[in-house]
Amino acid sequence: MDIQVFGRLTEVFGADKITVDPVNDTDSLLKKLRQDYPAIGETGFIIAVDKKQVRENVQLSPGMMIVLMPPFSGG
Amino acid sequence: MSEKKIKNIFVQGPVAPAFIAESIASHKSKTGIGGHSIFLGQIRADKINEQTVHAIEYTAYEEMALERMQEIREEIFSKYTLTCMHVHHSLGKIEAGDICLFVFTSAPHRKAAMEACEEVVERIKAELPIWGKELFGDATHQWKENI
Repeated sequence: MDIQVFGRLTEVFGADKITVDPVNDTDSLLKKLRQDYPAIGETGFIIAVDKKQVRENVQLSPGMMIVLMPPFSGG
Repeated sequence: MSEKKIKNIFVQGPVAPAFIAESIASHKSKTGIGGHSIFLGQIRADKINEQTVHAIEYTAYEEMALERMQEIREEIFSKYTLTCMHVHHSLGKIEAGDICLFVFTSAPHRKAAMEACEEVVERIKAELPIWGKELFGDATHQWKENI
């Protein structure tokens, strides 16, 4: 599954898009990201699925738009 | 979600002072307005560890930001008696001293315009997926954090 990343995460991952093996839900995705990308370290971020911020575990299915967002700093 | 057309708030580069003047002038025909409130965000040349911020480069998750802004707009209009509201946020590299955010609220009476303007600015900073990268003179950078 493709995941888009923004802000400082583009430096952590070295790209603005990454591909990971499919997982069933956002909790599994978080676990997998922390395993596969130890460089995430303490970098805080939230997940958005189909443009909505994830507040609890969400089931993922093919075609969903998954985005990792560090803390906002607009304005 | 309302079916209203989603307004774009993003502009490439700084918000030009002439554009702000034109925006004010364009309200002359709306004679029900009794007060405007305007907030202008300007890039500050912050000094951080002996380094000076020369510019901020903004990126955004635009689709989500515009949807969220539309929701904020609807909430603001239901909370305050406003005539109109305009929001413009820069993307790309904005030099220190330039304007990067323009929020403009107009209402029959001043308090609604002022309170709505303040709430919109705070919510833009807290709720819109926009990121600023602070660029220093020696080509290094750090990611801005809203406080």
